[in-house]
Amino acid sequence: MSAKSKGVIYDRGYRPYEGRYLGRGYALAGFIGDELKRALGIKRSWKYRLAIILLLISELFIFFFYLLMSQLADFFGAGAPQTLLNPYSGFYEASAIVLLFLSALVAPALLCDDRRYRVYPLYLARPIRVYDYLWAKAGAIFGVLALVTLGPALLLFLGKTFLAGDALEYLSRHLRDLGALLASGLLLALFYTSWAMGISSLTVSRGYAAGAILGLIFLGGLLNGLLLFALREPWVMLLDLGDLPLRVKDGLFGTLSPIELPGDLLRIEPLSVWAYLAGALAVIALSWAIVWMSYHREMR
Amino acid sequence: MASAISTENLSKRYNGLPALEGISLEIPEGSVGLLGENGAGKTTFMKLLLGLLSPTSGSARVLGFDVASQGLELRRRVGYMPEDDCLPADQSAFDLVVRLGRLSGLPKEVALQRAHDVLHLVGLGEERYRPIGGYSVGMKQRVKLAQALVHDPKLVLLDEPTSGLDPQGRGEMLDLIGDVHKKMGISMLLSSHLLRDVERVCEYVVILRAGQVVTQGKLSELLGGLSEGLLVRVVGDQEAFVQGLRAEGLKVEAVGTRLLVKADSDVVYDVILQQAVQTGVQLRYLERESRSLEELFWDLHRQP
Repeated sequence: MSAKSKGVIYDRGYRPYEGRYLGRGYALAGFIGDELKRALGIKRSWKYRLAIILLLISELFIFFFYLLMSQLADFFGAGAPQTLLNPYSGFYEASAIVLLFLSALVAPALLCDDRRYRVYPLYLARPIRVYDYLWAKAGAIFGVLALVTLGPALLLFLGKTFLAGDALEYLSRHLRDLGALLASGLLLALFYTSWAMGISSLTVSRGYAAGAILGLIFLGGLLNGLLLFALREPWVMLLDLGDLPLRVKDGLFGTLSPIELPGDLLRIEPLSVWAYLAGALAVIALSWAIVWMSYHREMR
Repeated sequence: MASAISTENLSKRYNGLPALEGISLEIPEGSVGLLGENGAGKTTFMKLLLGLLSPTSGSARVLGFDVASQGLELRRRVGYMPEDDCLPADQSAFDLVVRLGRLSGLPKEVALQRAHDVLHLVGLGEERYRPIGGYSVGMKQRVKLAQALVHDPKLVLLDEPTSGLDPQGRGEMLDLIGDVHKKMGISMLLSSHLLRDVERVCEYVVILRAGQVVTQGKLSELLGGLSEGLLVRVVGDQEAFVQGLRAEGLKVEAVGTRLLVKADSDVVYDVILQQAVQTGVQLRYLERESRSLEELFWDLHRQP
């Protein structure tokens, strides 16, 4: 026999697993990681990826705009507008619209599809609990939103710190801004995560969910504008749901200002920052109550 | 035989309506069929065993774990193949099975390897990277089976695994399911309303009707217990053979090309052999008459 014999595996058969099973924490971390990747468009359709890329580019544009403007403001000194000398509040104000659209894209994609295809019997037959599934989804959505709020804001702060003549002096003078920046970023990400999850848990259609997430916020803003004009009462501002976390942010940065239109058409003093915070927390709590009720009913 | 599932007075009601009532069972390891018509309570029973539903009363243990308090531990060791279409259309079978394997506690590299293996095993080697939305019903059933096996469970609960399949697909799926216990050594509880599916792959059967256990036991005993005699086929002088048996006091009647010999004891075997020798016929077939599971099912169904 001269030819060398080669081994060919025709049937690998079934191999029992004799290794170690890892804990629930590991399983959930992996689950959140997977969901985060899917939220960012990995292994999703090109339309979804395109939408994500456009939103991230918009955010990047806002980031560079505020970085550039604040550098120009530094150049002109104390005479420059306050919003440019302290760019963080302005950055969040402009980013809020990107966050809203991002939450309207990501949350329905992660929640509605699982409900439409009734996937959770497969998940819940694993060693996790009902609320683990929801935490994983929330963690992924929050992760994406925090990434586009806190990430650039922190980068902006670091950039400003290192571009300043004396970095340590800048840091010590703007420590309060850093605290406000972290708290505002977290609140904004939490607010839009909760809001988008609450709406998405009510429908299996991604389109309806996205429409409702955007539509209710815009409708609240419109209603707020009309009623403010008609009633001229400050409490009406609480109807503008999308504005609630932004007014808290203004309070944190010390830039809470009255609503006024040119020519003395309208001037309304703002409510206390606590009122806005209570409103934002109420929206977050209500959203989570809706999520819990929707899933509790469906998973039983 | 060790007990894989044991329940005691297990009941479940939905808004006051009973789905399961007072189920007390000891189900052994091996391949077990859970048989019943639609609405008999099979899916509810499986969900109770997984700890996905809370019982209204009673208790259950699966692989020694209490379903109410040790749900996480038992779900690590149990695989579940749901009846419903529950697969995400936009994901590939491979991604889904890896993800579910990791959720069961497999390290990432192991989950990747085992996902390849089990998908190959269920016959989805080439198609595993395609989105599930483009799969046929049979392929989807295979994905559901693969995800139930990926973490190497000790027990799999298969809820109507042949549902929606054409005859060929059904046969292939039953072959796969048959291997789960025979070749992989994994115990299984197969729920079905299709009697032939259960008959083909199960050794033990539990029959449910309207949320209650009608009967349970080894399939061979349940079917054999109803036998009325031995079926015999001979080549040669059949008339002489029959007369010889009757002369020994046995009741014999023709059933098609075979003879049905009424048997009330094992001595009948000796008498048949003795008469075959004496009359010079060739004994070509000798087996205890058994009724099909379908006959058993309908007999039980007719009982009040």
